[in-house]
Amino acid sequence: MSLSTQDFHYICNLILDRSAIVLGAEKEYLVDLRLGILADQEGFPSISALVKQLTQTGDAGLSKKVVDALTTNETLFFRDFRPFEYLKSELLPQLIESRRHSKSLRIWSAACSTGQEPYSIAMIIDKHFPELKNWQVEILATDLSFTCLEYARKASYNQFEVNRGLPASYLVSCFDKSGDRWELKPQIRQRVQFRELNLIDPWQMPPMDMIFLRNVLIYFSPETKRTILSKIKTSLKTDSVLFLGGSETTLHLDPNYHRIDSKYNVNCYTLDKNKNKSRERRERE
Amino acid sequence: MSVLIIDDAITAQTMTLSYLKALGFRHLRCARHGHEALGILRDEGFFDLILLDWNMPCMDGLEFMRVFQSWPGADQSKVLMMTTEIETERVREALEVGVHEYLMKPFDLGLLHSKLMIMGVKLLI
Repeated sequence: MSLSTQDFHYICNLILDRSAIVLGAEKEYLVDLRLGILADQEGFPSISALVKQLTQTGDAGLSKKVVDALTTNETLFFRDFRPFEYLKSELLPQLIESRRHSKSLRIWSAACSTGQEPYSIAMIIDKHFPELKNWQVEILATDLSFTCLEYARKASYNQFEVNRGLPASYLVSCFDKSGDRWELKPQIRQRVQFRELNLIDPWQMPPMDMIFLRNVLIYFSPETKRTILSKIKTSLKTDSVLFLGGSETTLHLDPNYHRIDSKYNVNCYTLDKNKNKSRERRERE
Repeated sequence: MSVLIIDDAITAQTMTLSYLKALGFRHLRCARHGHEALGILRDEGFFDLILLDWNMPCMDGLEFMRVFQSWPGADQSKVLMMTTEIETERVREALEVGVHEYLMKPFDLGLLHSKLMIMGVKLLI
């Protein structure tokens, strides 16, 4: 199956319209590969027959499947590792101290893909913070892709997925082996709530204590990045923390975010411009 | 950083060597089983990182660990077990004898890279 230039442009516009993701010319191979698989699955003789169906009928279900096929991105447990070391060793202890009266924590994994990120957070909480047992800890995980969410809810992973990034100590304490799959223990799985959400659609979230928005902004135009960062702000308390991917920044996009200095050298931001100063003060004391 | 690969399968040794070279490691050494590895360690001193297969003739990975762990200074080396053993009990056993991380075969460069990151191994690239 091969993709004509005209069909490629049609698909790029569809993806831009539905998800605000910019597909450059270098992604043509990816569109060709993934739409070829989708065309096969849906019984179309070619990609161009699939595109024809979309243009002629505006088939909403098929459009959703196309968006889903092209926006599914890779993920892994404890991706980049350092953000999770920071979470475990600095951020959670700080938040436990500052939220000790409300005994409540809200965490949002804003592009959770197949669930490895929110489950990594849930594993850390389960394994290292028994004192949070009596707290109200909500981990909300959202994604645009319903296929990813369906997979995530099952919390059942193959060997490749658990081999990649997951420390062995978590594998033995948080998973049960069932046939050739590794299933997350129910008490950890139940900590995460999944919901379909497109970041460019209108949404409202309660105030979060931390938001993971990692490796998401890279797919958007500067204008969409600004809009999303501005919306995210409404769900952050002054001392909450926003995690971005290693190659992402708020610089030149939104001056209200301040990068947090940490020995873990993680890419996280806060709205509190004095946070770094108070940390330095604490360390001096 | 020095690395000792202990694996009886030549193809697995060759593949692991090529991955390590791609990750920037230069001081690499190979042994075909635990017994040979102990000899190398005795003669050449400790290695920073040991990549250890489980099932090998003469002395398997677990036996190697039991002997090696009793040597003073063995804790200078980080050990990654790389094996076709994929049951939870096996992973637990390996951790109990002092293995730091566990990688199920088959694996590729990316998987090895992710495990070395978890172990805090400084990569040169």
